[in-house]
Amino acid sequence: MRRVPIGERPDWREVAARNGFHFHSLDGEPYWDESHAYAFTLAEIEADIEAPSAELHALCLDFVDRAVGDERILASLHIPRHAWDAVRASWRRRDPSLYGRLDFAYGGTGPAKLLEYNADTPTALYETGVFQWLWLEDLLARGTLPAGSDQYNAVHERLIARFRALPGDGSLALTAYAEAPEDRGTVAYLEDCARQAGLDCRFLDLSEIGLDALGRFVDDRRVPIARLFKLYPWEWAFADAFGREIDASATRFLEPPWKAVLSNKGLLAHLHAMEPHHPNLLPTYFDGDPAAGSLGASYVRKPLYSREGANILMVENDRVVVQDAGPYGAEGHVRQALAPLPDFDGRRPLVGSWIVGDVPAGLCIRESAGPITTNAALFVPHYIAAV
Amino acid sequence: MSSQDRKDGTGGTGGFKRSEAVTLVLLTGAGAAAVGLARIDPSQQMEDIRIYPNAEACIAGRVRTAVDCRIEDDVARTVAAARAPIYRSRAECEAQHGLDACEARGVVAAPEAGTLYVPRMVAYFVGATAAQKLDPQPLFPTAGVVYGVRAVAQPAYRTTWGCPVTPTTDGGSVARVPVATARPPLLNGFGATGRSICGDESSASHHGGGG
Repeated sequence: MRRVPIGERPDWREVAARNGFHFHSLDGEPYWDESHAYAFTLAEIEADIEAPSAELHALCLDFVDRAVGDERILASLHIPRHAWDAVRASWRRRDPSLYGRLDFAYGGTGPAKLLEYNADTPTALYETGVFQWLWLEDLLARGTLPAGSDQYNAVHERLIARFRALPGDGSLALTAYAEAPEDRGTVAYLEDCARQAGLDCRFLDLSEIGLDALGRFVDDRRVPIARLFKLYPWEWAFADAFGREIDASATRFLEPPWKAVLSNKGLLAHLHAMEPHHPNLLPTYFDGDPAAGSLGASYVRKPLYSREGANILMVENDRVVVQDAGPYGAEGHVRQALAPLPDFDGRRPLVGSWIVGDVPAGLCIRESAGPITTNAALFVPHYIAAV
Repeated sequence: MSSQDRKDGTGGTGGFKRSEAVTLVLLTGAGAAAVGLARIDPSQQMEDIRIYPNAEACIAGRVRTAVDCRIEDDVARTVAAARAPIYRSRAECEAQHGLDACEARGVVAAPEAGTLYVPRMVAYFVGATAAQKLDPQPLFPTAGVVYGVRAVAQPAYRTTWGCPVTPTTDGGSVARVPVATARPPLLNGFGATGRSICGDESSASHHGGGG
């Protein structure tokens, strides 16, 4: 794994505009950065990222199976009691999932260490599946990269295949905060994939979803919603006014409610307890667990629900290195052994490994200046070097 | 868009690890418009309702007390004032509700300046029994539609949320309608938690994706 100063294409902003990538800069700050890229060997991708991702996702599914049968686990994850039946029922029906992203600390040496599983509302999907792919094709066409260079990125075609395989009536409603550009972009991309898979799609702002007198979630035409993709985390949906209506409704969700078990930092403590010697898992404990003392003076404390690095506290040799502000934490925390992100020229890449359906499908890298990857991180493309 | 040099291989496994082709239909141009599929749920429950043009007709029906009739009529008119469907022109409104069925209500400021129109309430409905706990709801007329020489049957009325209501007998006051027609849907049940967590009700700083 190398960080290569490959140089940005002078016209990449026009390429972005032509391909619907309108959120490459957020709040005036750049988000997509192709001035450099990360190069991997095929062996690094297949042995260090892809294979562990498949194994960890399978372990996660085993954990969900265990969690739905054990109220102590659901309680430890602070999933509200009124949501347990929806979580259990969705798993017992085997409601299909669409996607998720495992985030690893990995720098090309030693096993990748799982930092968290964004199993419910991961973004950076369009950038991975489309714009990063176009970047590679463009650099091949321009001769910047030699023929035979590749990319670990089948995200786009796997998404379409997954949508095509969904059971149901062929309809799909998609919802998010319509006014949030990155969310709207991600949902528009998924709608694009779903349409290519033949689904009849309709976008709804979150506020447009109604609940009719029969307990059915309905769209803005009052037509019952058979399947709803929501870029809105389950812990918020459960806390909303409609949160108690989910189990009784006939609507099927993407991600399904059982993903609430995985999109929770408590998962990391449970996985470690299941497989304490797994090379890709870091020792992790719930706050208050006496065993957390074994982590010593260096650890990372994460709220169970936190996203985008919010409210994460990093302690090294009893010194607080970083403490990110944010709205999370009242629900409790885990403590995870410190696995610093690798340092490439003073930049810290976080390796995101996409799961589509139940299969590893590709990779994205978000790069930060500091040790925690927040929503200010830059998206940096990658390639697999030609042999 | 398709991947070039597919046959070169990576030298490792002989196959590429990226998508063979990446195509977009929606984001890159004029995507096909979605076609709505209405679905009918035959198992849905029904509600019996009474339809009255005004409180006097209700009182004359001798099913409800005069006091109840007047209160219900008032409630329905208040709901109509707040929730009647809004149209950007009289023609649009009359196309849905019939000639002379609409009145001006409010104006839109520049740059899309213009008068707004709403249909006039012509009746209201209540539950057949108090036990149904149905709130009185206004009803608006529907425009008759004629295709060629054949008139196509239209519902007599629509609710504020667009559901059709037709009495079981012509001009009658009795109807049986699906529950979703008798009771307005609840809205705004999702989204509040994300806004309150982010402490910002108005700006686009909150978002539900991420991680």
